[in-house]
Amino acid sequence: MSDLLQPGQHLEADQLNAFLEGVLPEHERLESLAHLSECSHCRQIVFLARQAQQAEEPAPAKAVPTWREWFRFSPMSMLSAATIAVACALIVTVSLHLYRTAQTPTTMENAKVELAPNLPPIAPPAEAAPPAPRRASPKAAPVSPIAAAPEPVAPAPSGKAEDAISSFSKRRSATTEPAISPQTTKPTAMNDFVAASAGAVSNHEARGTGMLLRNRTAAPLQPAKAAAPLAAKSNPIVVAAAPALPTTTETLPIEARTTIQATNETVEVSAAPNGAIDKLNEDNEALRKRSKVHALPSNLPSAASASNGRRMLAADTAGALFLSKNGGKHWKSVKPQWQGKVMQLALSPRSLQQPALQKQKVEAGFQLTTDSGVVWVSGDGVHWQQK
Amino acid sequence: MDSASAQPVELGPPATAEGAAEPQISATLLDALWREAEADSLELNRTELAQKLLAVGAKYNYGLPPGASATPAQIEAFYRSLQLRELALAHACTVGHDAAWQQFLQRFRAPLTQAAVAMTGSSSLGQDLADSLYSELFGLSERDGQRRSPLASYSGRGSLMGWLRTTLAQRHVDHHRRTRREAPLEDTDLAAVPTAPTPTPEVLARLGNSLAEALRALAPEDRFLLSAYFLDQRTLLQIAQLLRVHEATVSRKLKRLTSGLHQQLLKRLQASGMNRRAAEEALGTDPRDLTINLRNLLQTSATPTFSNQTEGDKTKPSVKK
Repeated sequence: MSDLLQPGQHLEADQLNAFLEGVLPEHERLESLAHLSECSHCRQIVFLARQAQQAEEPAPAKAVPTWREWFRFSPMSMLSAATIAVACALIVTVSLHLYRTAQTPTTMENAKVELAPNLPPIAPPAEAAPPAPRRASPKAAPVSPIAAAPEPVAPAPSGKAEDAISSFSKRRSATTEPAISPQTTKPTAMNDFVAASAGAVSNHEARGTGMLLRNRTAAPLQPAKAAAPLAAKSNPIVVAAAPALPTTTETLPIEARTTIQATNETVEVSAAPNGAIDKLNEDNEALRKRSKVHALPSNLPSAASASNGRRMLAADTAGALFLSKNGGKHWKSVKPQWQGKVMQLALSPRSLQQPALQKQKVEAGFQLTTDSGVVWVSGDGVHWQQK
Repeated sequence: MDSASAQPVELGPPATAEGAAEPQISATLLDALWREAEADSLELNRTELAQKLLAVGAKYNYGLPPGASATPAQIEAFYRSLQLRELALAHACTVGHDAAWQQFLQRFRAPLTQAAVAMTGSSSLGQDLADSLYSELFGLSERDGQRRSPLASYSGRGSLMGWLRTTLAQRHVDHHRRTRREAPLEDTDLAAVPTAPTPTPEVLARLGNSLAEALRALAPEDRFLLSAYFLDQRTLLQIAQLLRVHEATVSRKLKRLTSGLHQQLLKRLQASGMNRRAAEEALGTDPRDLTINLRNLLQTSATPTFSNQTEGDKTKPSVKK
């Protein structure tokens, strides 16, 4: 049956409008609803009037754009966002650059390395053809302070270099040939130098210190004796290698930000052992990591430090001692069992004198020197005994 | 029947149907209402305003249910709840005061045209619709030698603009229904749907009866929801805005309604002698196999509707015939 033909009654406009505006009393509202449920004609009118009312109502102004507006795609907004991002990146870069140049003017200098007087004469690279094993003194070679360093560089234990060379050769030999003489683990002049540099860096708690090694030759390196002579004439450190091995020159830029400021070391390695380069790379990584050590809890600069693997000891300028077991990320104060201030920190000779291959199994030790000259030793950096 | 034909109210002196009750508005209250309505600027005197207020109050029983008697406080509250300024304006226009017409044109000319354009979706059609309503409002149509204006039916309970909008919608729907009769059928060729096995006539009869009973038992608001959503294809948002509830509320109600209807049908079918499985199979019947008319079912309820209630109530002209 057609609705149009139904004789019916319809609600007045006044009633429909009052229903639309919600001003009807409840009984009339229910009556209107009942009629609307039956009458499609009135329903149509009501919905049409409501639609027209909505069309007339101004869109509510959004006082605060919602967060979704930010993610609505439009070319202009994307362009604006990209421009802002580039501008911010530029500002940050320039600010960092200005800050660095203002705070610690980075100067790339070749470190002056002087041979210790008690070192044996170093053979020039050309003469280093025979793989004569070098037996360097196990004692730390005295190295002159790095040119730019305002503080004297403490002689670092040569065990550092020892580690460097040993692991250096290990990794390289894993990729090439593992024929490395045990003598390569002996401290050498070069090892001493690297250790001294590293020790200097660690002693000065140089943040941002870096050591880069670049293999200048593309030829694959052959395993060689690690006894690398140190060229004393110039800063480049030349490591003599076995004959018939390609020559490799490595550059070790060392940058220090606080006390050392910036140092660029050039280490020329002639036919350096493959493992040595890797070890130096590892050492370089260690230095980089070390350069990211966090501030000491006392917020004072570090006056001395020593590290054995990830275990590090540092003394601030007030003479307080701190221990880190995770490479300098977190520090804990060590309860002083001594009188006075801690002035020097070093690895104890007991651990330094262990052969490199056995060293990993031996507990490394630390030693500290107070301002009164008393030496204390500790195996873990926490419990100390007077020497 | 067109809506427009049900609107006319005679211009001139107000109807005296409620004259028997005569003034129930005190002079003080009338004076206050007259001032509030700013009737002076419309050249509407107190007597004219009082007559209109009395007519509206009697028509809607002062907002009370039929049969209830209103106290003076309720009467005053009802008067004060009216849109007095707009009621006075509409009444002054109905009476024919020029000042009122000027105000009316100044205030409602542009919004009315805008509403008409929004309804028709066309500027020219909207303009035509608004112009035709203007002429009607002005009382160009005459009956028994007297001008008649739909403005006389405005009661002041809602806004005058809303009343004009609804009147426009009435005229537009009337026009649309008139012209729809002349529209040719669309030449669409629908693909046949694979048919399920047709249930027996007995099952169909049981299903039809159960469905009719279930729909008739629904409350008016529920039937309105079903009608608006399923028959008129209105959106949840449209229905929600009309009922002044949240869209999710309408959705929940509809879901509850349909599931409730399903359960009721199952029960009724089982009560008629079918087992549950057969009842569920019967509910899966293609609706086209049913001979029932859902529209008719929804339009006939057990509870008396507003139109049915007011059918014999001649004192309530809110329902037009």
